[in-house]
Order: sequence, then structure tokens, then C-alpha cells
Amino acid sequence: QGGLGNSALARHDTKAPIDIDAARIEVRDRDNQAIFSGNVVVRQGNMTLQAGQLRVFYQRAQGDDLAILRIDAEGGVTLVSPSERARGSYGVYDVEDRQLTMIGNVVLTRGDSVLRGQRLGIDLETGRSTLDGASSGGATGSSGTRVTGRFVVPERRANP
Amino acid sequence: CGLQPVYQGGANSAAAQAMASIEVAPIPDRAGFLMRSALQDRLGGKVSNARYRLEVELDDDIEGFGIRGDDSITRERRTLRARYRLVSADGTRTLLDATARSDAGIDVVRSSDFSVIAAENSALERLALDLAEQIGTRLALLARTTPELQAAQPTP
Amino acid sequence: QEAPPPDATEARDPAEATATPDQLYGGPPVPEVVDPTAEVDADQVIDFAADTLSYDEGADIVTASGNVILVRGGYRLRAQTVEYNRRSGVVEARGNVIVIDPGGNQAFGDRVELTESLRDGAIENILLVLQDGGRLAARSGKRVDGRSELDRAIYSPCDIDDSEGCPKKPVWQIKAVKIIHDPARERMTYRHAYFELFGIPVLYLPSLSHPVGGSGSAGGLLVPDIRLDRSLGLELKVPYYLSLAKNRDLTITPYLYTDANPMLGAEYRHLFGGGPARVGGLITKATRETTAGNDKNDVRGYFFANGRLQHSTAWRSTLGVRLTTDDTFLRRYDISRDDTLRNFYTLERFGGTSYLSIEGWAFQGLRADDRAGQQPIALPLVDFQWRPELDALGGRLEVRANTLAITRTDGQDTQRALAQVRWDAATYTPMGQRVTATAMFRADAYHTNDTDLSPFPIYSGKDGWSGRAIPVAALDAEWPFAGPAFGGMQTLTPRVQLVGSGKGDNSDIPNEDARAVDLDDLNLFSLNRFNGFDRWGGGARVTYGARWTLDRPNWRVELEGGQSYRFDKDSDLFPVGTGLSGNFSDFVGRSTLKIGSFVDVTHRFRVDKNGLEVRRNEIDATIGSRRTYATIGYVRLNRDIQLEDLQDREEARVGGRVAFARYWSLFGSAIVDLTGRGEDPLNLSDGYEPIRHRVGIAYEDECFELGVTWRRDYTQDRDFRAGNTFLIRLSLKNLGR
Repeated sequence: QGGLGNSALARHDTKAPIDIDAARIEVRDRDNQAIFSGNVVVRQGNMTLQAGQLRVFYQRAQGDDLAILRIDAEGGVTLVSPSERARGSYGVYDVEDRQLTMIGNVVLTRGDSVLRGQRLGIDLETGRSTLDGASSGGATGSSGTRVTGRFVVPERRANP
Repeated sequence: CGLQPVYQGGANSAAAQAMASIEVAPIPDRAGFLMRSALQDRLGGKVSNARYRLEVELDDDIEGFGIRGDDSITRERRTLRARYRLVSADGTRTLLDATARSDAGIDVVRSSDFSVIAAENSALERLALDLAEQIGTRLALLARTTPELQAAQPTP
Repeated sequence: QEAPPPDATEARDPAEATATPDQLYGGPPVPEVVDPTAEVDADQVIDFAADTLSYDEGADIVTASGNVILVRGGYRLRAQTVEYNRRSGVVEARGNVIVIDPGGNQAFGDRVELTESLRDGAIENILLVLQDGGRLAARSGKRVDGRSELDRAIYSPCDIDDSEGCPKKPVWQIKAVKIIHDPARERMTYRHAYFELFGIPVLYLPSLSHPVGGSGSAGGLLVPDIRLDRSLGLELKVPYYLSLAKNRDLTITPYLYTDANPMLGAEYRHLFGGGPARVGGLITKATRETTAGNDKNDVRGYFFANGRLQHSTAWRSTLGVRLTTDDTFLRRYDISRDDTLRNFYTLERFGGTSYLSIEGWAFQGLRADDRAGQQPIALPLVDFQWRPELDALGGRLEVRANTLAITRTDGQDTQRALAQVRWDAATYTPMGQRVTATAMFRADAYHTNDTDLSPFPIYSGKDGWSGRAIPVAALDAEWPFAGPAFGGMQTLTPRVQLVGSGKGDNSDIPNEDARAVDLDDLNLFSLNRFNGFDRWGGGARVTYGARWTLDRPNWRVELEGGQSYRFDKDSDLFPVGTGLSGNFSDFVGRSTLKIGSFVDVTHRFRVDKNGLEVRRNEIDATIGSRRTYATIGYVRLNRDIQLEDLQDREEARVGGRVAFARYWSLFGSAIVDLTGRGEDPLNLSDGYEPIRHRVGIAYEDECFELGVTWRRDYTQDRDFRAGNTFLIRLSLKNLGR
């Protein structure tokens, strides 16, 4: 069914294991940070995130397994899920709040529909995604540009 | 009172030289042919490397008057108006944009309507000559006051 | 949403500094791998722009807010917020919504619900502004496939605010239970319409429809014309316009009279590839007062056809046909005031240096004493002028050939052929004189018969063949001077011309095209003062004159005059009264005064050589601005010409218009025959005889025009009687043409 349709991200399980592969890794245990660089690919469930460089903030839970709190991706971020693709210059995946945000010339493609804006926020909890023209968020008419895009109208048998 | 001959110095006076560098663009209709011929004679005819072009638009009108008791007319007046523009050969600059007007009276003879047609045609020929004289004088004056026109020596 | 990451980059490890900014900030956008919309049909796609957009996954509703624009297949929607339910396909827009259709008509509303095609839907408290300026307001409206159906609506093309922007009541409007605006068929239809003029309901119509939209292709009623005529009673003319195709249309005009039978008019227009053509006519059955005095009831009418076709860049045809059943039809039904109808066909060839015209002329004289048999038919009249671009001994050549055949069904026939070669050379003397030498040779051949049938022996010439050869030599010198004066530039151009030419035997030769000559400032310096070719004013003469002009900023004065002296005294060629009889000619001249665009006075005169009596005096003045002006025209002919019908005459023509209160204007014009008893014994006037006058008042603004004119004719001719005519012109702009 063409058009936006229901997004696979709505039922995304943020608890699933995250595996990251990259050319280089630099661990800063003191700051509970790890920096991956060199076409980094992050996979969780059926969602993958590619970026030029990744900064992972983690927390050492009891025992020695790590709990990833937040991932900052930059250097051309591309998010791919079975139902859509989103691209932007900078991305933040807040695992705990289940929020995914992308900033900078964001292009969201879902089926045939293409949306462009400066700031894309996807609430993995409710499946609600908001695209904003202003990169500094919310305020309309601020220095940001406009959200533009194109919906493909699904074939309807007869006009209602 | 400060009157000098416009063509002082004859053929190489500024006015004569300037006029010789003007080419007359074609003008539509019979009136246009007569007007262009009269202007070419007035400006000096053969222009090989024209540096300026004269564009003319004509408006021709015949009006009847001198009305008799049986509502028929006894006289006509033919008025020819010309709007003319002197532009540089490449059409970028307009040096002069002016109008000229002349009119001629025609007696409407009842013995032959064809004679009235012939009188209207002769009037047109004379109006074209009169307008060409007015426009020629105006262009000659322009040459006196426009250095660029004076420098209009035909480049070899 | 915690603070966005960008400021986190400042705390980055300096080791990264080597990366170029592009790498750090995402670099150029990655080219789109696939452009999903490329192959999708444009009509299937909604383009949009907004400040923010959010998409509710569950309900599949897209909400765009902040100056939202939606575009689909030529339709545009603007609003503050738009909710697009993708599942149901309903688009709901709120906050000064504007829907613009491909035709440019804009529908405003507070809340609009449309289908995703943007073409259909409901609009609450709608204001529809049409592309041609008309306005439609309604409590509510429904849009189906671009057609707006409005309930309890008002239509008016008039402005609703005056120049200062304060709201004003439209001059006229139409209220209706339902108004349907159909941009595709360019039509507006009303149910139960109340027509209000200046706020007063004037007319109720159960249903009404009219064309709307500028393309003019829609047919329909044009502006009706109402007039009260002395002989026809009340006249109602209601033209109906039918557009047959992009380049063809037909207008049918019924004329209804209270005191005469109805008349039908029709005009068909066709734009060919080569140019436009029109054909049409009028027809009625009415009583006609014949010259024999008894009344005849028969068909009366008028037929016209004209057209101009460009066959190629050089060749062009022009046709003009005008025929009427009887002399007074056109004036009685106030179609035209012409007293002669000209029928002609002209084939012209425009060469770069040559002009050829092949013409045919026929006339229908409408004056009481016109004899059809005597009307000349010129077929063919061929005139060829050629100006070769060769340097002939420093001058220019012009070759001219002309042939003419005049036939009369009951009168003299004439044929002529002539050729002429002319050489002109202009040179400048060092002192600034412009000297033109001219040499010309002309040879004519004439043939005529039935000269006895010609009512004017002086024009008829001799039966059979005759011819002549005319050598001409002329020297013409002008000496233009110029200099500053009175803050402007003055020029003075004295001119002298010497002309010598063969006598040119005129007596045997028929005169068809040179039947009236009157010396004026235009033909003073012509080689031949006669019009046409059939007469040549030969002999030797000197002509002298001067032209003085003064040009100041928006001031222009011009004076010119001249006279000529003929060495041989040949009086019979130039009859008395032409200004050319005798050695000295009359003195002719012209003066012109222009002040800005306010005053424009031209005076032309001919003064008798002895006695300084004014023989011809013509003054024309226009004073005032474009909206408020007065025009005066005065002519006095005191020439004592005994020939033909060129009696002396004096006439004044005045006209004027006064504009006031922005939309109103008063206008009037009058023609008065001042010919005195002494001047023309045959004329019935006694020094003051009005011919006709016209007085009227008009109101015109951007949507409404009302004009009332009173016209009175004092002249009469058979059943075209003197009397009054009242014209009322009421035109509602945008309601048809």
C-alpha cells in the first residue's frame, strides 16, 4: 500500500541488543564514552543506522555488561528501516527515552512520499514523527527553512 | 540673433554627416513606402555602414466636414502623424523619440468620387514629403547638440 | 527534548580537528538513491510546504502547520494549519484558507474541507474572488470538480473599497438563493436572483446566466443598446455573441422598434492565417419614401464585407465592399453618415525599393442627385513606383508607371497609360544651402469616348486618342538656419524653387482624377499642383517661401508661408478661385502653436494676391487635458469658384467634455453652418444654420457605465428626417462584453 503507511518503527524494541561495527574504536572509560569512526554501522532489530562517526554514551550497570544510554551519530547519518529511510547530517538516538532525532537537511522517504525539513523527531513510543523546518526546534518562522515534501495519493476507487 | 546655417561646411558639416549615417527602417503600408522614400531622399539616401536607425510609426486619418443641408460633406482633411525614434544600430540606445504631424485639405467634388480618391492619394504623397522635411530638420538639429552623432565619421 | 547535540561538538577531542568541516557536519547531501516521485503521474502527487509537519502513525493523519501550501494538478491551497487524513482522503484546512483553481479564481474561507484532489469539498462562509475581478460571497459553498455551488450568495464585479481603502457598497450586485460558478464552461448561473443597483432591488429573475472569465470565448448576450428615435420610436438592440472557434465568431443582433418593423443584423468574423475578414449586414422590411414621393414598402438593408490577407511577405490583398438597398437606409437607421459607399479591391506588392498596387474601385452614391450611370468604375488602376539603388550621376532615379481605365454604365469611358522617369540630386553648398536639382520626363497616352454624355465639358476632353510628353526641370534651394532664442531653439528655412516644364496639352485630355485644385502650403512646392495625373500645370515659375520654428521646453511655434510667380499668363488652365490664376499666385501659409499637451492650435490660410482678402481660412484648436477639453474647428471658403459644386462655405464645429466628481462627465458637440446668403445663393442657410448637435452625461467606474445622450439632426434628406434622438447606454462590466 503506497504512501506513508504504518511505520515499522512504531513497534521498535529499543531493548533489543545493539551491535556496532566500525573501522576504529576509541574507548574513554573515564567518561563512559566510546567513539567509533570510519563508516560505522549500528544495527538494532530491523533498524540500521549508518554514519561517518558515532559517539556512544553508556552506563556500567551492576556486573560488567554495558547499558547504552544515548548514541550521537554524525558525518552523514542514514537511518534505514523496512518501511522508511531517513537521512540527515546529524542524528541522536536516545535509547532510554525511545526518541530518535535527526538534524540538518533531513530527507524522510516512506514508500513514494518524500519529506524534507531541518529537524526530524521520531517518538518510538507512540510512532509519531514530527518534521520541523527550523533546525532549532519548534519555533515557526525562526531562522530555519521550510518543511517541504510530496505525498503520493493512493488510488481510490471512487471519490468520497 | 545667433542664427547660423545648419549645414555650415556643406557635405562634411556635422548635420550632413550625421544624417548620412542614418538608415531608415522599413515602414508598413503604402504610406510607409512613401514616407521611407521621402526620408531616404532627405537624409542622403545610400547608407552603407549605418550607425543609426530611424524607426517610424505612421497614423493616417481622413475626416469629413463642411456639411451641406442634405447631410453630405464638401471637404475632407487627411492628417498623417509620425512617431519616430532614432536608435543606435544595435538597438540599445534611443537618441530621439519625437512626433511630427501634417494635414492636407481635399475638396470633395460631386462629379466624380474617383477624383476624391486620387486627391487623397496625392495628399498622402505630399504629407510624406512634408513630414520628411520636419523630421530631417529635427535630426539635423540633434546632430548639432549631440557630440556622439557628430563623431559619426563613417569608419573605413 | 534535551539540548540538541551540535553544541556538544565543541567539547570534542582536539584530535578530530584535522577532519574537514564537511566531514564533521555531514558533508554534501548524499545523492538520493531513488527518486520515488519521478515516474509518478504529476496528478497523483500533492506537493506541500509548511513550517512544521507531524505525522500521527496510528491515525495516519498528517498535520502541517505554519503557512501551509498544498499544490496538486494546478490547484493550490493555503492555510495556517492543514490536517490530511490519508486513510479517508479528507483534507481539512483552517485559518484564513485560500483555494486557488487553475483559472486563477481564489476561494477564501475560515474552515475548508476538501478531498485530496483539492477540487471538491465544502467551504464555510466563503469569499470567491474571480480572476477577472468579480467577487462572490456566500454563507457556505460546495466545490464539486472545480465548480463552486454557493448558497445564499452575492455576486458583484465592483470594488468594495474606495481609493482610500475604506469599505464602500458595490454599485450593483446580484443576490441569489444559489449561484453556480463553473470556470471550465466560463459561466455563472443564478437561481432566484435579485438585481440591486445602488442598493435598491431593481429586478427579480427566477434564473439568469452569463459568461464570466476574460477569454471571451464564451457566448452570450452583449450589452443591450436602448435609444428613442424620432422616426423609429423606442429602439432596443440586443446583440448575441456566438464563439464558433478560437478564430471565428458570429454576432446576431435583433433590433426591435416601436414605430418600425424589427430589423436583423448579423456579423461573421474569421481570422485566417493571412489576416482578418468580416462579413455581415442588416435587413428589414419597411416603407420608404421614393423620390417620386409615393411610399413603397419593400426590403431595405445593407451588406458589408472587408478583409486583409497577407499572401506572402511582399504580396497583400485588401477588400472593402459596402452596398445598401437605398440612399437613406443607413442614415435613417443611424448606421452610418457616409454619403458615398466605396467598394474596392487592392492587391499590393511591397518590395524593398518598389511598390506596386493593382486596384479596382466602384461607388454607390447616396446623395439625391447622384446618377448611378455617371458613377465612375475604375478597373484597373495600376500604379508602380521603383527607386533603384544605383548612383545615377550622383543622384537618385525614380521610375513610375500608371495605367487607369474608367468605365461608366451611362457616361464617358476613359483609358490612360503613362510612364515617368525622374532624377533628383541633392548637394550641400559650403555656406549650408541644400540644393536639389530635378529632371523628369513623362509621356501619357489617353483614349476616351462618349464625351458627349459628360455633364462637365471642361473635364471631358476629345473623343479618340490623345497624348502628351512633358519634360520638367527644377532647381530647389533651402538654406536652413538655427540658433538659440527665448530659452529654446529657433530655425529659419527660406526656400526658393525654379520650375520649367512643357505646357502639356490639357484641353484634349479627359480629366478624371484632377478635378479640383486649391493652392495650399502642401502643394506650393509640388512640381504639379494638381492632384492625380490628368492635368499638368506647365510653364515656368519661381516659388519662394520660408518656414520658422521655435522649440522651447513644452512650447512649440511654427510659421510657414509662400507664394509663386508664373512667367506666362495661361489663365484657362487654372480657373478663378484656385489661387493660381494670373502671374502671381495667392499667398498661402500655416501657423501652429503647441503648449505642452494642453493647447494645440493650427491655422491654415490662403490670402488673395491683390486685395489681401482671405480666400481660405481653417482654424482647429484643442484646449484642455485628456478628461476635460474643448475642441473648436472653423473653416471659411471664400473662393468664388464657379466650377462644379465647390461653392463658398463657412462652418464651425465645437466639442467638449467636462469630467467631474471622478466618475461623471458632461460632453457635447455641435456643427453649425454659418454660410451667409451672399456667399452661396443656392444654400438655404442665412448665416446661422445648425447641422447637428449632441449633448450627454455619462457615469463610468470600474464595473458600471451609464450614459444618456440627446442628439438632434437639423438636416434632412428624403425619409431621413430632422429631429431628436435620445440614447441610453447602460453597461454592466463583466456581464458579457
